[in-house]
Amino acid sequence: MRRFTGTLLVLPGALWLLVLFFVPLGYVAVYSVATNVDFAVVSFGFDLSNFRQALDTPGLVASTIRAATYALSATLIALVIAYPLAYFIARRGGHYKNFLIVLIMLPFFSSYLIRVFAWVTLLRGEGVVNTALTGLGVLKEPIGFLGTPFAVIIVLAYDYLPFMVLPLYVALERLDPALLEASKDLGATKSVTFAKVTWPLAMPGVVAGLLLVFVPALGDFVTAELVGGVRTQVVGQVVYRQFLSFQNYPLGSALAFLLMGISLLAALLITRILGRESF
Amino acid sequence: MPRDRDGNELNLLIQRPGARIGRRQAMRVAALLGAAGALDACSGDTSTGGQSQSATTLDTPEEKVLNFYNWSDYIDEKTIPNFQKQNGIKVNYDNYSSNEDLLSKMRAGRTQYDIIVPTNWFVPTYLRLDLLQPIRMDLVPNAKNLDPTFVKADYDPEGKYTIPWQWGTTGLGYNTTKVPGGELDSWKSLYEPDAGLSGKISMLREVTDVIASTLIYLGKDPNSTDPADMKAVQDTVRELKPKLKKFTSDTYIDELTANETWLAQGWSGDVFQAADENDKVTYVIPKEGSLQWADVMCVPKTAPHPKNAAKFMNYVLDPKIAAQISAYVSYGTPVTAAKQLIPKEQLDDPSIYPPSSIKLHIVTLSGPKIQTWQTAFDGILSS
Repeated sequence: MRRFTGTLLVLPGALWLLVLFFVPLGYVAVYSVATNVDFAVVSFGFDLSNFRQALDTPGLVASTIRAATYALSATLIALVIAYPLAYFIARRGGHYKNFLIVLIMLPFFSSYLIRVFAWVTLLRGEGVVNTALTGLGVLKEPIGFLGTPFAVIIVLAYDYLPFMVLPLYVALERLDPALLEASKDLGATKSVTFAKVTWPLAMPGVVAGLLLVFVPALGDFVTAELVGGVRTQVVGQVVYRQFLSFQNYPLGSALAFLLMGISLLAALLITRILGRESF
Repeated sequence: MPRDRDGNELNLLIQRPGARIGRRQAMRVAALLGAAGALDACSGDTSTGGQSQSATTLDTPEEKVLNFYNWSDYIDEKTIPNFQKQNGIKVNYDNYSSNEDLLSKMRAGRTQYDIIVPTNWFVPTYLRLDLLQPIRMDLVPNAKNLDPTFVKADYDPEGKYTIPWQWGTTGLGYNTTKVPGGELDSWKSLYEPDAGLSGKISMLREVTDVIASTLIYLGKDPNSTDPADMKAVQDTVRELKPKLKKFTSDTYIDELTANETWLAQGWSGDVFQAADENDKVTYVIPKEGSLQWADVMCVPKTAPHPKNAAKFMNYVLDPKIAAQISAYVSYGTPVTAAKQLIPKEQLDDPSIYPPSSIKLHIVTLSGPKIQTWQTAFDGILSS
């Protein structure tokens, strides 16, 4: 009876995963071994040449390295900003904790596109940032932010920041103040306490945050598409282009699998290197 | 009735009150959001479309409904209400923002749409995928009003599947205060840009426009698939690439308006849209010649109301109605007799109705050309 209840409990989740994750993934798998006979014309079968072609896609390696660099930079920026923020909310937030967390989540109430366009308005040559800086005399000439890696990284960091704050907040919130006091009583300085107590205990949150930011940022292509330019092509755009512009679903699917493999590898690496002690 | 979520979202973003022209203005970015949707689109796709639908017989009465799927901001405000009043047919009007969006949706399987409006160069693909049904031409007597350029054109040699909606051109949009001399009229300005324009130039992210216009600039046949020509095209654009801001088929309108881009390869009506809001922006069709394209009305194979679709097509081919639409959207009308009803300043505007001295090419993507051009284009974008 007990075992039966357990099965029942897992059923909705399993069904959800099956229908919304594995079935679509199955479609991608079927397409990845189909043949693109002509523009938008697919013949189903078992054809592994898409994977070879995917690996030969011009610019694939460069765009993957670029995407990884952008994602990593954005993740680190997000970590540096999110850690003190999460620490403050968790330890000093008092009655306002929940309210502050809602504030962190607030940007998600508007569409991602609108938020990216807000950045476009901020960063463009005659945009808010340049107008302010030239107006204050800091800059002589407006800077062309758009189209640069800088713009892509900043907007990525901005967008995924809440995913870094939340797990860090949870980890830091659970931190038992008694441990910090014990550390102080035993003569540890503030920085030693941080290095030996706070940081290791927050590690699960750090790892979760790194994963939640790095993996989606790696596959993100909308940001590079909108605030990037010819020099900021990322691998997500290569996949996107095969699906939409070239209507080549088989090659697009094979590329998607490659990207999935890379993301998985990155995720494993992060958990292996950083998560060893904590998991 | 499925709604185009992405398109709507973008309309919110981009449509400014008072702006009225530019069918493509509504951001191909929609396609970005729809990229996940491209995977949804996987279902039910077979080698040749495979959608079977019992042909509507001559006598089947149709429900008084018409589902019209068109580019955003591509019709005036009166046409649909007047058609509804006159025929008692309820029109559901939906929008998309790119040919890729439309094709992905049609590839995904049955839709309820009765009229779609792809660009001519996509028509061979729709036919190859068996996604269209012949238009009930017996219900479209006004087809006699059409400009012969668009009748039995190479994308629809038998003249069975398409009726043109509007036509336009590919050219250069530029900021008169930023380009040297304040004026330009040649593809050279794009392909051999002044140093001061570096990083302020965009090109369309569209296979046909990029390859064909580069071929024209190089003095080659704009329909060439010759490997040497393809290599020359690739080399030319690759060399230009470091000076480009980006390849974009949508955001350039906004960027021209905001003085962020100073020179953009673009579509006529789109640039007019930017010019509406920024009087420094203007459009020119390069003197070496350019591309002319037509967005054409088609009836999807699965359309539930093909007869109503034909009735609507007949309605908009009436010279008075055709003039009303084209005058509003600032694109060219395919209805010959409508021209005399269009405001003189539009008719005399060489950027809408170019003089015959400028050679315009209608380019179609069909057969092996698709693959050749795409490979070349992919090489340009990816490298």
